[in-house]
Amino acid sequence: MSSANRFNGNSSLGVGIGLRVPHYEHIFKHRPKVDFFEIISENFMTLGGRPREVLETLLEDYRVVQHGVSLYFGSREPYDREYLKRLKRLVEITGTPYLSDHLCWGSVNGYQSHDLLPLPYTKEAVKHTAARIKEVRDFLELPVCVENVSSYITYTDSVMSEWQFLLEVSEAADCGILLDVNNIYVSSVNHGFDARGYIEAVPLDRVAQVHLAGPCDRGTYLLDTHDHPVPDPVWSLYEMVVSRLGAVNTLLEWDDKIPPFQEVMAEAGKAMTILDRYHQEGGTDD
Amino acid sequence: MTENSDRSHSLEEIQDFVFESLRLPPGTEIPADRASSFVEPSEALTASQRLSIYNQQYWYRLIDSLEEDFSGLRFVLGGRRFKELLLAYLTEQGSRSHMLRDLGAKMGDFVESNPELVEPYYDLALDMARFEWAQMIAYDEESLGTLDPAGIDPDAIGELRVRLQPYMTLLSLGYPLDDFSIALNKKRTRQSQESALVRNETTDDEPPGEPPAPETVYLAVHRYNNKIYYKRLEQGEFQVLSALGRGQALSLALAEAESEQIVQSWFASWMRLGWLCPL
Repeated sequence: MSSANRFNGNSSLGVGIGLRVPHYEHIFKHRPKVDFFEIISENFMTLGGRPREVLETLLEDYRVVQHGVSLYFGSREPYDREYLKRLKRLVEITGTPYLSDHLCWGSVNGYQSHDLLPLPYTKEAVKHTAARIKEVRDFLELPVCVENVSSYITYTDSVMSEWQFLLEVSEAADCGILLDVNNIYVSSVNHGFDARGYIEAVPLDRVAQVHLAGPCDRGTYLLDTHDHPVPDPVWSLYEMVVSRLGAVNTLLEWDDKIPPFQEVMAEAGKAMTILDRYHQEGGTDD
Repeated sequence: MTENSDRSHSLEEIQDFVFESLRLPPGTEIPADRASSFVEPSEALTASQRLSIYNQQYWYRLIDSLEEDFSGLRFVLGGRRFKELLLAYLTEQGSRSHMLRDLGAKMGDFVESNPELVEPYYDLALDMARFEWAQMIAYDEESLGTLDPAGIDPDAIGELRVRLQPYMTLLSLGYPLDDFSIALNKKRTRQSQESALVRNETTDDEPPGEPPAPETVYLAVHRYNNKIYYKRLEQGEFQVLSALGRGQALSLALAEAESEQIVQSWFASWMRLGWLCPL
Protein backbone atom coordinates (compact mmCIF):
# COMPACT_ATOMS: atom_id res chain seq x y z
CA MET A 1 0.00 0.00 0.00
CA SER A 2 1.36 3.42 -0.95
CA SER A 3 0.34 6.72 0.54
CA ALA A 4 0.78 8.61 -2.72
CA ASN A 5 -2.13 11.00 -2.95
CA ARG A 6 -3.17 14.31 -4.46
CA PHE A 7 -1.65 16.17 -1.54
CA ASN A 8 1.86 14.95 -2.27
CA GLY A 9 1.57 15.12 -6.04
CA ASN A 10 0.98 11.35 -6.11
CA SER A 11 4.60 10.85 -5.17
CA SER A 12 5.91 7.80 -3.40
CA LEU A 13 9.33 8.90 -2.24
CA GLY A 14 10.49 6.50 0.46
CA VAL A 15 12.68 7.69 3.33
CA GLY A 16 14.63 10.93 2.99
CA ILE A 17 16.78 13.11 5.15
CA GLY A 18 16.99 16.86 5.64
CA LEU A 19 19.85 18.44 3.69
CA ARG A 20 22.29 20.09 6.10
CA VAL A 21 25.56 21.95 5.48
CA PRO A 22 27.89 19.60 7.44
CA HIS A 23 26.93 16.79 5.06
CA TYR A 24 27.56 18.58 1.76
CA GLU A 25 31.10 17.30 1.38
CA HIS A 26 30.15 13.69 2.02
CA ILE A 27 27.11 13.80 -0.25
CA PHE A 28 28.89 15.34 -3.22
CA LYS A 29 31.97 13.16 -2.83
CA HIS A 30 30.24 9.81 -2.31
CA ARG A 31 26.78 10.33 -3.84
CA PRO A 32 25.16 7.99 -1.29
CA LYS A 33 21.87 6.32 -2.05
CA VAL A 34 19.15 8.47 -0.50
CA ASP A 35 15.50 8.29 -1.53
CA PHE A 36 15.08 12.05 -1.38
CA PHE A 37 16.37 15.19 0.30
CA GLU A 38 14.22 17.80 1.92
CA ILE A 39 15.56 21.36 1.72
CA ILE A 40 14.55 24.35 3.80
CA SER A 41 13.23 26.72 1.15
CA GLU A 42 14.46 29.87 2.90
CA ASN A 43 18.06 28.62 2.77
CA PHE A 44 18.01 28.69 -1.03
CA MET A 45 15.88 31.70 -1.87
CA THR A 46 18.70 34.11 -2.65
CA LEU A 47 19.23 32.04 -5.81
CA GLY A 48 22.93 32.71 -6.18
CA GLY A 49 26.41 31.62 -5.24
CA ARG A 50 27.24 28.55 -3.26
CA PRO A 51 23.64 27.67 -2.22
CA ARG A 52 22.56 27.74 -5.87
CA GLU A 53 25.52 25.58 -6.86
CA VAL A 54 24.69 23.10 -4.08
CA LEU A 55 21.09 22.90 -5.19
CA GLU A 56 21.92 22.38 -8.85
CA THR A 57 24.45 19.69 -8.00
CA LEU A 58 21.96 17.98 -5.72
CA LEU A 59 19.26 17.99 -8.37
CA GLU A 60 21.54 16.12 -10.76
CA ASP A 61 21.22 12.96 -8.66
CA TYR A 62 18.40 13.33 -6.14
CA ARG A 63 14.75 14.14 -5.76
CA VAL A 64 14.23 17.27 -3.71
CA VAL A 65 11.21 18.23 -1.67
CA GLN A 66 10.76 21.76 -0.34
CA HIS A 67 9.89 22.48 3.26
CA GLY A 68 9.51 26.04 4.51
CA VAL A 69 9.67 27.83 7.83
CA SER A 70 8.39 31.32 7.05
CA LEU A 71 5.02 31.19 5.32
CA TYR A 72 3.30 31.62 8.67
CA PHE A 73 -0.14 30.57 7.47
CA GLY A 74 -1.70 31.84 10.69
CA SER A 75 -0.17 35.32 10.75
CA ARG A 76 -2.53 38.20 10.18
CA GLU A 77 -0.60 40.41 7.79
CA PRO A 78 -0.75 40.09 4.01
CA TYR A 79 1.87 37.96 2.32
CA ASP A 80 5.03 39.61 1.08
CA ARG A 81 4.58 39.19 -2.67
CA GLU A 82 8.31 39.34 -3.34
CA TYR A 83 8.82 36.44 -0.94
CA LEU A 84 6.13 34.42 -2.69
CA LYS A 85 7.64 35.16 -6.09
CA ARG A 86 11.04 33.97 -4.93
CA LEU A 87 9.44 30.86 -3.48
CA LYS A 88 7.75 30.17 -6.79
CA ARG A 89 11.02 30.57 -8.67
CA LEU A 90 12.60 28.05 -6.33
CA VAL A 91 9.70 25.65 -6.82
CA GLU A 92 10.27 25.83 -10.57
CA ILE A 93 13.94 25.02 -10.08
CA THR A 94 13.52 22.10 -7.69
CA GLY A 95 10.45 20.55 -9.26
CA THR A 96 9.20 19.68 -5.80
CA PRO A 97 5.98 17.64 -6.05
CA TYR A 98 4.48 19.53 -3.11
CA LEU A 99 5.43 22.22 -0.64
CA SER A 100 5.08 22.06 3.10
CA ASP A 101 5.23 24.63 5.87
CA HIS A 102 3.94 24.85 9.41
CA LEU A 103 0.49 25.28 10.86
CA CYS A 104 1.55 28.24 12.95
CA TRP A 105 2.06 31.98 12.94
CA GLY A 106 5.27 33.94 13.43
CA SER A 107 5.11 37.58 12.42
CA VAL A 108 3.38 40.80 13.44
CA ASN A 109 3.40 44.04 11.44
CA GLY A 110 6.25 42.84 9.25
CA TYR A 111 8.46 41.80 12.16
CA GLN A 112 9.53 38.17 12.09
CA SER A 113 9.95 35.89 15.08
CA HIS A 114 11.78 33.16 13.15
CA ASP A 115 9.88 30.78 15.38
CA LEU A 116 6.91 28.48 14.82
CA LEU A 117 4.33 29.90 17.19
CA PRO A 118 1.21 27.87 17.95
CA LEU A 119 -2.19 29.20 16.99
CA PRO A 120 -5.17 29.43 19.30
CA TYR A 121 -7.59 26.67 18.33
CA THR A 122 -10.55 28.89 17.52
CA LYS A 123 -13.03 29.12 14.67
CA GLU A 124 -11.57 32.49 13.73
CA ALA A 125 -8.10 30.96 13.42
CA VAL A 126 -9.44 28.06 11.32
CA LYS A 127 -11.10 30.39 8.86
CA HIS A 128 -8.21 32.82 8.66
CA THR A 129 -5.50 30.18 8.33
CA ALA A 130 -7.35 28.10 5.75
CA ALA A 131 -7.83 31.16 3.55
CA ARG A 132 -4.13 31.91 3.63
CA ILE A 133 -3.16 28.32 2.84
CA LYS A 134 -5.42 28.45 -0.21
CA GLU A 135 -3.87 31.75 -1.25
CA VAL A 136 -0.38 30.21 -1.25
CA ARG A 137 -1.52 27.07 -3.04
CA ASP A 138 -3.22 29.09 -5.76
CA PHE A 139 -0.20 31.33 -6.20
CA LEU A 140 2.31 28.50 -6.34
CA GLU A 141 0.00 26.20 -8.33
CA LEU A 142 1.26 23.32 -6.22
CA PRO A 143 -0.16 21.06 -3.49
CA VAL A 144 0.50 22.59 -0.09
CA CYS A 145 0.79 20.64 3.17
CA VAL A 146 0.69 21.94 6.72
CA GLU A 147 2.82 20.52 9.49
CA ASN A 148 1.68 20.29 13.10
CA VAL A 149 4.19 22.11 15.33
CA SER A 150 5.66 21.39 18.74
CA SER A 151 4.33 23.79 21.33
CA TYR A 152 5.00 24.94 24.85
CA ILE A 153 1.82 26.93 25.45
CA THR A 154 -1.90 26.45 25.05
CA TYR A 155 -4.30 29.38 24.91
CA THR A 156 -7.20 30.16 27.21
CA ASP A 157 -9.20 31.05 24.10
CA SER A 158 -8.91 27.65 22.41
CA VAL A 159 -12.23 25.90 21.94
CA MET A 160 -11.03 22.67 20.38
CA SER A 161 -8.13 20.21 20.57
CA GLU A 162 -5.03 20.56 18.41
CA TRP A 163 -5.99 17.54 16.31
CA GLN A 164 -9.49 18.91 15.78
CA PHE A 165 -7.94 22.20 14.68
CA LEU A 166 -5.63 20.37 12.26
CA LEU A 167 -8.61 18.49 10.87
CA GLU A 168 -10.76 21.60 10.44
CA VAL A 169 -8.01 23.69 8.85
CA SER A 170 -6.96 20.95 6.43
CA GLU A 171 -10.57 20.36 5.38
CA ALA A 172 -11.40 24.06 5.06
CA ALA A 173 -8.26 24.66 2.97
CA ASP A 174 -8.49 21.26 1.28
CA CYS A 175 -4.76 20.85 1.86
CA GLY A 176 -2.45 18.03 2.83
CA ILE A 177 -0.86 17.29 6.17
CA LEU A 178 2.79 16.83 6.96
CA LEU A 179 2.42 14.78 10.12
CA ASP A 180 5.36 15.39 12.43
CA VAL A 181 5.25 12.46 14.80
CA ASN A 182 7.98 13.92 16.99
CA ASN A 183 5.99 17.14 17.37
CA ILE A 184 2.94 15.18 18.45
CA TYR A 185 5.07 13.42 21.06
CA VAL A 186 6.65 16.67 22.31
CA SER A 187 3.32 18.46 22.60
CA SER A 188 1.65 15.43 24.21
CA VAL A 189 4.27 15.52 26.99
CA ASN A 190 4.12 19.31 27.35
CA HIS A 191 0.33 19.48 27.43
CA GLY A 192 -0.56 16.09 28.85
CA PHE A 193 -2.66 14.64 26.04
CA ASP A 194 -2.72 11.15 24.51
CA ALA A 195 -0.49 11.09 21.43
CA ARG A 196 -2.10 7.93 20.06
CA GLY A 197 -5.51 9.52 20.33
CA TYR A 198 -4.17 12.46 18.30
CA ILE A 199 -3.04 10.13 15.50
CA GLU A 200 -6.36 8.29 15.54
CA ALA A 201 -8.13 11.60 14.91
CA VAL A 202 -5.92 12.74 12.03
CA PRO A 203 -7.52 12.37 8.58
CA LEU A 204 -4.90 9.97 7.23
CA ASP A 205 -6.06 10.34 3.66
CA ARG A 206 -4.63 13.86 3.78
CA VAL A 207 -1.20 12.86 5.10
CA ALA A 208 1.42 13.54 2.44
CA GLN A 209 4.56 13.02 4.48
CA VAL A 210 5.82 12.23 7.97
CA HIS A 211 8.63 13.91 9.91
CA LEU A 212 10.78 12.16 12.51
CA ALA A 213 13.25 13.79 14.89
CA GLY A 214 14.58 13.72 18.43
CA PRO A 215 13.73 16.34 21.08
CA CYS A 216 15.62 17.44 24.19
CA ASP A 217 14.36 16.88 27.75
CA ARG A 218 14.46 20.15 29.71
CA GLY A 219 13.10 18.62 32.91
CA THR A 220 9.75 20.37 33.08
CA TYR A 221 9.12 20.17 29.32
CA LEU A 222 10.43 18.72 26.06
CA LEU A 223 12.10 21.12 23.63
CA ASP A 224 11.92 20.38 19.91
CA THR A 225 15.63 20.65 19.19
CA HIS A 226 16.19 17.99 16.50
CA ASP A 227 19.54 17.26 18.12
CA HIS A 228 19.03 13.68 19.29
CA PRO A 229 18.24 10.30 17.77
CA VAL A 230 14.54 9.54 17.45
CA PRO A 231 13.34 8.33 20.88
CA ASP A 232 11.43 5.07 21.34
CA PRO A 233 8.02 6.69 21.96
CA VAL A 234 8.31 8.47 18.59
CA TRP A 235 9.23 5.23 16.82
CA SER A 236 6.20 3.64 18.42
CA LEU A 237 3.94 6.42 17.13
CA TYR A 238 5.55 6.15 13.71
CA GLU A 239 4.78 2.43 13.60
CA MET A 240 1.18 3.28 14.42
CA VAL A 241 1.04 5.72 11.49
CA VAL A 242 2.67 3.26 9.09
CA SER A 243 0.37 0.44 10.14
CA ARG A 244 -2.59 2.60 9.18
CA LEU A 245 -1.19 4.44 6.22
CA GLY A 246 1.31 2.15 4.54
CA ALA A 247 4.45 3.36 2.78
CA VAL A 248 4.24 7.02 3.70
CA ASN A 249 6.90 9.49 2.55
CA THR A 250 9.14 9.82 5.59
CA LEU A 251 11.78 12.38 6.45
CA LEU A 252 14.35 12.33 9.24
CA GLU A 253 15.33 15.77 10.55
CA TRP A 254 18.59 16.41 12.41
CA ASP A 255 19.33 20.12 12.80
CA ASP A 256 21.70 20.60 15.71
CA LYS A 257 24.69 18.64 17.07
CA ILE A 258 24.58 17.05 13.65
CA PRO A 259 26.44 13.72 13.57
CA PRO A 260 28.29 12.30 10.54
CA PHE A 261 26.19 11.54 7.50
CA GLN A 262 26.41 7.78 8.02
CA GLU A 263 24.93 8.11 11.50
CA VAL A 264 21.98 10.11 10.20
CA MET A 265 21.46 7.54 7.45
CA ALA A 266 21.57 4.75 10.03
CA GLU A 267 18.76 6.48 11.92
CA ALA A 268 16.80 6.90 8.70
CA GLY A 269 17.43 3.19 8.07
CA LYS A 270 15.31 2.37 11.12
CA ALA A 271 12.36 4.01 9.38
CA MET A 272 13.09 1.98 6.25
CA THR A 273 13.07 -1.20 8.36
CA ILE A 274 9.67 -0.32 9.76
CA LEU A 275 8.29 0.48 6.30
CA ASP A 276 9.72 -2.79 4.92
CA ARG A 277 8.31 -4.81 7.81
CA TYR A 278 4.87 -3.40 7.27
CA HIS A 279 5.17 -3.97 3.53
CA GLN A 280 6.04 -7.64 4.11
CA GLU A 281 3.32 -8.18 6.71
CA GLY A 282 0.61 -6.19 5.02
CA GLY A 283 1.47 -6.56 1.37
CA THR A 284 -0.99 -9.40 0.81
CA ASP A 285 -3.88 -7.11 1.63
CA ASP A 286 -3.34 -5.03 -1.50
CA MET B 1 -22.77 30.78 16.86
CA THR B 2 -21.47 34.24 16.10
CA GLU B 3 -17.93 34.85 14.97
CA ASN B 4 -16.76 35.99 18.40
CA SER B 5 -18.98 34.04 20.74
CA ASP B 6 -16.41 31.37 21.61
CA ARG B 7 -13.56 33.59 22.81
CA SER B 8 -12.62 36.71 24.64
CA HIS B 9 -9.47 37.62 22.71
CA SER B 10 -9.25 38.05 18.97
CA LEU B 11 -6.52 36.36 16.94
CA GLU B 12 -4.92 39.77 16.55
CA GLU B 13 -4.93 40.44 20.30
CA ILE B 14 -3.40 37.05 21.03
CA GLN B 15 -0.66 37.44 18.46
CA ASP B 16 0.16 40.98 19.55
CA PHE B 17 0.51 39.86 23.17
CA VAL B 18 2.65 36.79 22.44
CA PHE B 19 4.90 38.71 20.05
CA GLU B 20 5.36 41.47 22.59
CA SER B 21 6.26 38.83 25.21
CA LEU B 22 8.86 37.11 23.11
CA ARG B 23 10.56 40.41 22.26
CA LEU B 24 10.89 41.45 25.91
CA PRO B 25 14.56 41.70 26.95
CA PRO B 26 15.96 38.26 27.82
CA GLY B 27 15.24 37.28 31.40
CA THR B 28 12.35 39.72 31.83
CA GLU B 29 9.57 38.25 33.93
CA ILE B 30 6.33 38.28 31.97
CA PRO B 31 3.54 39.72 34.18
CA ALA B 32 1.60 36.80 35.60
CA ASP B 33 -1.86 38.31 35.31
CA ARG B 34 -1.40 39.23 31.65
CA ALA B 35 0.16 35.86 30.83
CA SER B 36 -2.57 33.85 32.50
CA SER B 37 -5.20 35.84 30.66
CA PHE B 38 -3.92 34.42 27.37
CA VAL B 39 -2.04 31.25 28.25
CA GLU B 40 -2.95 28.22 30.33
CA PRO B 41 -0.53 26.84 32.93
CA SER B 42 0.74 23.27 32.64
CA GLU B 43 1.18 20.84 35.52
CA ALA B 44 4.81 21.90 35.87
CA LEU B 45 4.92 25.51 34.63
CA THR B 46 2.98 28.74 35.13
CA ALA B 47 1.64 30.64 32.13
CA SER B 48 4.54 33.12 32.43
CA GLN B 49 7.12 30.35 32.55
CA ARG B 50 5.65 28.72 29.47
CA LEU B 51 5.71 31.99 27.55
CA SER B 52 9.30 32.53 28.67
CA ILE B 53 10.34 29.46 26.69
CA TYR B 54 9.46 31.35 23.51
CA ASN B 55 11.18 34.50 24.78
CA GLN B 56 14.40 32.53 25.42
CA GLN B 57 14.23 30.80 22.06
CA TYR B 58 13.66 34.09 20.21
CA TRP B 59 16.79 35.69 21.61
CA TYR B 60 18.86 32.54 21.39
CA ARG B 61 18.03 32.01 17.73
CA LEU B 62 18.62 35.59 16.61
CA ILE B 63 21.80 36.14 18.63
CA ASP B 64 23.20 32.81 17.45
CA SER B 65 22.58 33.81 13.85
CA LEU B 66 24.32 37.19 14.23
CA GLU B 67 27.24 35.65 16.13
CA GLU B 68 27.83 33.38 13.19
CA ASP B 69 27.67 36.23 10.67
CA PHE B 70 29.77 38.78 12.59
CA SER B 71 32.55 36.78 14.19
CA GLY B 72 35.09 39.46 13.23
CA LEU B 73 33.06 42.13 14.99
CA ARG B 74 33.02 39.94 18.07
CA PHE B 75 36.79 39.69 17.86
CA VAL B 76 37.04 43.48 17.75
CA LEU B 77 34.71 44.14 20.70
CA GLY B 78 35.12 41.08 22.90
CA GLY B 79 32.27 38.78 23.86
CA ARG B 80 30.52 40.93 26.47
CA ARG B 81 30.31 44.16 24.45
CA PHE B 82 29.49 42.28 21.29
CA LYS B 83 26.49 40.71 22.99
CA GLU B 84 25.39 44.12 24.28
CA LEU B 85 25.63 45.45 20.72
CA LEU B 86 23.55 42.56 19.37
CA LEU B 87 20.87 43.04 22.03
CA ALA B 88 20.66 46.76 21.24
CA TYR B 89 20.58 46.07 17.50
CA LEU B 90 17.85 43.44 17.75
CA THR B 91 15.80 45.56 20.14
CA GLU B 92 15.84 48.50 17.72
CA GLN B 93 15.75 46.69 14.40
CA GLY B 94 14.06 43.36 15.01
CA SER B 95 13.91 41.16 11.94
CA ARG B 96 12.02 42.34 8.87
CA SER B 97 12.96 39.52 6.52
CA HIS B 98 11.69 35.98 6.11
CA MET B 99 15.28 34.84 5.91
CA LEU B 100 17.57 34.86 8.96
CA ARG B 101 20.34 35.45 6.45
CA ASP B 102 19.15 39.08 6.17
CA LEU B 103 19.21 39.74 9.90
CA GLY B 104 22.50 41.62 9.88
CA ALA B 105 21.79 43.78 6.84
CA LYS B 106 21.65 47.00 8.87
CA MET B 107 24.49 46.26 11.28
CA GLY B 108 26.84 48.73 9.57
CA ASP B 109 24.30 51.55 9.74
CA PHE B 110 23.48 50.68 13.34
CA VAL B 111 27.12 50.80 14.42
CA GLU B 112 27.52 54.12 12.61
CA SER B 113 24.53 55.57 14.47
CA ASN B 114 25.52 54.20 17.87
CA PRO B 115 29.22 54.91 18.40
CA GLU B 116 28.90 54.68 22.18
CA LEU B 117 28.27 50.94 21.84
CA VAL B 118 31.61 50.29 20.15
CA GLU B 119 34.00 52.97 21.46
CA PRO B 120 37.01 53.10 21.50
CA TYR B 121 36.92 50.87 18.41
CA TYR B 122 34.39 52.87 16.41
CA ASP B 123 36.25 53.09 13.08
CA LEU B 124 37.40 49.48 13.19
CA ALA B 125 33.99 48.15 14.29
CA LEU B 126 32.21 50.08 11.56
CA ASP B 127 34.61 48.80 8.92
CA MET B 128 34.29 45.25 10.22
CA ALA B 129 30.48 45.32 10.25
CA ARG B 130 30.39 46.47 6.63
CA PHE B 131 33.13 44.06 5.57
CA GLU B 132 31.35 41.07 7.11
CA TRP B 133 28.00 41.98 5.61
CA ALA B 134 29.69 42.29 2.21
CA GLN B 135 30.85 38.70 2.59
CA MET B 136 27.29 37.60 3.18
CA ILE B 137 26.25 39.31 -0.04
CA ALA B 138 29.15 37.77 -1.93
CA TYR B 139 28.25 34.32 -0.64
CA ASP B 140 24.79 33.93 -2.05
CA GLU B 141 23.40 37.02 -3.77
CA GLU B 142 22.04 36.39 -7.23
CA SER B 143 24.35 36.87 -10.21
CA LEU B 144 23.25 38.55 -13.45
CA GLY B 145 24.27 37.91 -17.03
CA THR B 146 27.49 39.70 -17.87
CA LEU B 147 28.01 42.48 -20.39
CA ASP B 148 28.71 41.14 -23.87
CA PRO B 149 31.57 43.14 -25.44
CA ALA B 150 30.28 42.27 -28.91
CA GLY B 151 27.06 44.09 -28.12
CA ILE B 152 28.74 47.39 -27.28
CA ASP B 153 28.42 50.10 -29.95
CA PRO B 154 31.96 51.57 -30.30
CA ASP B 155 30.53 54.92 -31.41
CA ALA B 156 28.41 55.24 -28.28
CA ILE B 157 30.73 53.70 -25.73
CA GLY B 158 30.93 56.93 -23.78
CA GLU B 159 27.20 56.75 -23.15
CA LEU B 160 27.34 53.15 -21.98
CA ARG B 161 25.77 52.59 -18.60
CA VAL B 162 26.19 49.34 -16.73
CA ARG B 163 25.33 47.87 -13.39
CA LEU B 164 27.63 45.94 -11.13
CA GLN B 165 26.97 42.36 -10.09
CA PRO B 166 24.56 42.33 -7.13
CA TYR B 167 26.94 40.06 -5.23
CA MET B 168 29.82 42.56 -5.17
CA THR B 169 30.37 45.32 -2.63
CA LEU B 170 32.86 48.17 -2.92
CA LEU B 171 34.40 49.23 0.36
CA SER B 172 36.71 52.06 1.36
CA LEU B 173 38.17 50.94 4.69
CA GLY B 174 40.49 52.46 7.24
CA TYR B 175 41.93 49.06 8.14
CA PRO B 176 43.31 46.20 6.00
CA LEU B 177 40.52 43.84 6.94
CA ASP B 178 41.18 41.53 4.00
CA ASP B 179 44.56 40.48 5.37
CA PHE B 180 43.32 40.59 8.94
CA SER B 181 40.34 38.38 8.18
CA ILE B 182 42.44 35.80 6.37
CA ALA B 183 44.90 35.67 9.28
CA LEU B 184 42.07 35.39 11.79
CA ASN B 185 40.46 32.53 9.90
CA LYS B 186 43.75 30.67 9.73
CA LYS B 187 44.17 31.10 13.47
CA ARG B 188 40.65 29.82 14.09
CA THR B 189 41.22 26.82 11.85
CA ARG B 190 44.35 25.94 13.80
CA GLN B 191 42.49 26.34 17.10
CA SER B 192 39.59 24.20 15.94
CA GLN B 193 41.98 21.49 14.86
CA GLU B 194 43.74 21.58 18.21
CA SER B 195 40.74 21.93 20.49
CA ALA B 196 37.11 20.96 20.62
CA LEU B 197 36.34 24.48 21.90
CA VAL B 198 36.05 26.12 18.50
CA ARG B 199 34.25 29.22 19.75
CA ASN B 200 36.42 29.95 22.76
CA GLU B 201 36.49 33.68 22.21
CA THR B 202 32.71 34.04 22.55
CA THR B 203 33.01 34.12 26.31
CA ASP B 204 35.87 36.60 26.45
CA ASP B 205 34.88 39.88 28.04
CA GLU B 206 37.71 41.78 26.40
CA PRO B 207 38.91 41.71 22.79
CA PRO B 208 41.03 38.56 22.57
CA GLY B 209 43.73 39.97 20.30
CA GLU B 210 45.44 43.05 18.92
CA PRO B 211 43.48 45.03 16.34
CA PRO B 212 45.16 45.64 12.99
CA ALA B 213 47.10 48.86 12.40
CA PRO B 214 45.19 51.52 10.44
CA GLU B 215 45.75 51.59 6.68
CA THR B 216 43.44 52.86 3.97
CA VAL B 217 42.44 50.12 1.55
CA TYR B 218 39.91 49.94 -1.27
CA LEU B 219 38.26 46.55 -1.70
CA ALA B 220 35.84 44.77 -3.95
CA VAL B 221 34.30 41.92 -1.96
CA HIS B 222 33.01 39.52 -4.59
CA ARG B 223 32.92 35.89 -5.61
CA TYR B 224 34.47 33.90 -8.39
CA ASN B 225 33.61 30.28 -9.07
CA ASN B 226 31.43 30.49 -5.95
CA LYS B 227 34.31 31.34 -3.66
CA ILE B 228 34.52 34.66 -1.82
CA TYR B 229 37.41 36.96 -2.66
CA TYR B 230 38.61 40.35 -1.45
CA LYS B 231 40.23 42.18 -4.35
CA ARG B 232 42.26 45.27 -3.58
CA LEU B 233 41.59 48.18 -5.90
CA GLU B 234 43.53 51.30 -6.69
CA GLN B 235 41.84 54.46 -5.45
CA GLY B 236 41.01 55.60 -8.99
CA GLU B 237 39.67 52.19 -9.92
CA PHE B 238 37.49 52.22 -6.83
CA GLN B 239 36.11 55.65 -7.72
CA VAL B 240 35.33 54.68 -11.31
CA LEU B 241 33.63 51.44 -10.28
CA SER B 242 31.63 53.28 -7.63
CA ALA B 243 30.50 55.82 -10.23
CA LEU B 244 29.46 53.05 -12.62
CA GLY B 245 27.60 51.36 -9.80
CA ARG B 246 25.68 54.59 -9.22
CA GLY B 247 24.54 54.47 -12.84
CA GLN B 248 26.84 57.10 -14.32
CA ALA B 249 27.70 56.86 -18.00
CA LEU B 250 31.10 55.38 -18.78
CA SER B 251 32.51 58.69 -20.05
CA LEU B 252 31.59 60.48 -16.82
CA ALA B 253 32.83 57.64 -14.69
CA LEU B 254 36.17 57.59 -16.45
CA ALA B 255 36.68 61.36 -16.41
CA GLU B 256 38.88 61.21 -13.34
CA ALA B 257 41.02 58.32 -14.56
CA GLU B 258 44.68 59.05 -15.09
CA SER B 259 45.20 57.51 -18.51
CA GLU B 260 43.39 55.56 -21.18
CA GLN B 261 45.86 52.70 -20.83
CA ILE B 262 45.07 52.25 -17.14
CA VAL B 263 41.37 52.37 -17.86
CA GLN B 264 41.68 49.67 -20.52
CA SER B 265 43.56 47.48 -18.08
CA TRP B 266 40.89 47.96 -15.40
CA PHE B 267 38.09 47.36 -17.85
CA ALA B 268 39.66 44.12 -19.07
CA SER B 269 40.01 42.92 -15.48
CA TRP B 270 36.38 43.76 -14.63
CA MET B 271 35.13 41.99 -17.75
CA ARG B 272 37.25 38.93 -17.00
CA LEU B 273 35.80 38.77 -13.48
CA GLY B 274 32.27 39.21 -14.82
CA TRP B 275 31.58 42.29 -12.71
CA LEU B 276 29.80 44.40 -15.37
CA CYS B 277 26.23 43.68 -16.37
CA PRO B 278 23.91 45.38 -18.85
CA LEU B 279 21.37 47.75 -17.36
